[in-house]
Order: sequence, then C-alpha cells, then structure tokens
Amino acid sequence: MHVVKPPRWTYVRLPRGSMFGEPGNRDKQRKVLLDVLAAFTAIQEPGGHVELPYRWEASPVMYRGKGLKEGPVS
Amino acid sequence: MPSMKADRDWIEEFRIAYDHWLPEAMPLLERGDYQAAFRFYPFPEFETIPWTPVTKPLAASRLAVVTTAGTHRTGVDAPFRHGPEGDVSLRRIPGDVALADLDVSHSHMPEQIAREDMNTVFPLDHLRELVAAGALGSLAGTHFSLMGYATRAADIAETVAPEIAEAMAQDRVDLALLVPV
Repeated sequence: MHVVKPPRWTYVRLPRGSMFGEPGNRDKQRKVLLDVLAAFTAIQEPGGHVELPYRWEASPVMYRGKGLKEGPVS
Repeated sequence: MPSMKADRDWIEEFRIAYDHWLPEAMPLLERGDYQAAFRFYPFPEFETIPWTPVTKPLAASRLAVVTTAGTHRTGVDAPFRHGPEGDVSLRRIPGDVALADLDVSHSHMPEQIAREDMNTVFPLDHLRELVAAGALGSLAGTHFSLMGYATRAADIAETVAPEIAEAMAQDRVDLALLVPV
C-alpha cells in the first residue's frame, strides 16, 4: 500500500478474492464490513489505516495449486 | 486536513516506461511468469496522497461500491478479458441488482469463492441491511466493477477513474468503498 497510497485503508488478513470473510459466514462478513465503514470516519490523516483482527477460519482457498489463508495469490 | 486531488504527474512518464516494459514482459506474461514480468514493471510513484475529508455521519451518507473482482451481470455484461495485459474496462452494476444475477471473471483470483457468495467481494446484501437498519444513509444508484488485473494503469487513471468519479458526483455519492482484488 506504500506504493498505491490510498487516502484511507484497512488491512484485512484474508485471502485475495474473499475480502469480507468465508462464503456464507454472514456474521463475520458483517463485522468486517462494519469495521471497514467505521474507518471512514476514524481515519483523520491521509494514508491512515486500520489493521483488522480477522483471520481465515476455513480450509485454505485453492488457487493454481496453492492453498491460501491470507494475502495475494502471486 | 484540506482536500487533495490525486497526483497526475506520473502518467506521461508511465506511458513511456510501459511501452518499453511491454515487449520484454510479453513473453513472460504469455507463459504466466508474472513474478518475473512484474519485477521490472514501471509501478507509478505518487508524490501525494489524495484526500477528501468525511463530513457526514455514516447514517447520513450515500455509499457506492467499487470492486475489482471482475464482477458483472450474467448474460447481460461482457465478461472481462483474460489476456496478458488484463482488461481496463468498466462494468456498471445497477443498485437494485440481485447478487444471484452476478458472476465474476478475474484471471488472477480464486473465482470459486465469489461464485459461492458474492458478498465476499461485493457486500451488497450487508449494505442493504445496514441501510434498512438506519446505520448507513443510502446506497448509490450504480456501483462499479473492474478486474484487478489491468496492466495499463494510465488508461485507468485517465479514462475509467474519471468516468467513475463523474458518475458518483452526479449520484451525490459521499463514500466510495473500494474492494481491491
């Protein structure tokens, strides 16, 4: 993100392609979303960010032969 | 903090550098060696961070989603192209769309997750519930979708991003929620 320089951002340690949590885990998806929305007003400085505590709680996501629980695929 | 518009100084230099990068990168891209290809990609270097202060509470704000999951309407919109340079085109997703009518076409993400539950990359069901509960003011009439794999960054900055910004301004959108994939 130091390259992209977005105005404000949240760091979500979930696999790329599932940024709000596991499929069907509606409670967790809603919590992630609420935390992200709260960051709109909480972040007061350009480039400010919030790191969220959520982690992947299912089998790794398979992509091109690799199992992902966090981060990008390549 | 006062408002600060996005830095545009990088665009001309990027276009020149991109034209040098592409011929050398193309064989690597075509065989899927992205790590090697992007090791010398001319990533833009921004001098400033764009900024618009948030002046309204969430309960009074109108929000639009911009996802780069390659979301599109099944059988209505063209899927995103999966070539070596990706796809810089835009899909407009109507605000009243049913998530069951959406699909994804993204060459660089595990598509099966979004197909199982589109809320993982485009959380419209949850946002609608928040509006109904009064926690969020309203949702935009149109949301926006791109595919996150798009190497022609200058085209996005000069054509797609202004198009999105103009549409949001006309729709009186206060907040843009970007879901990067």
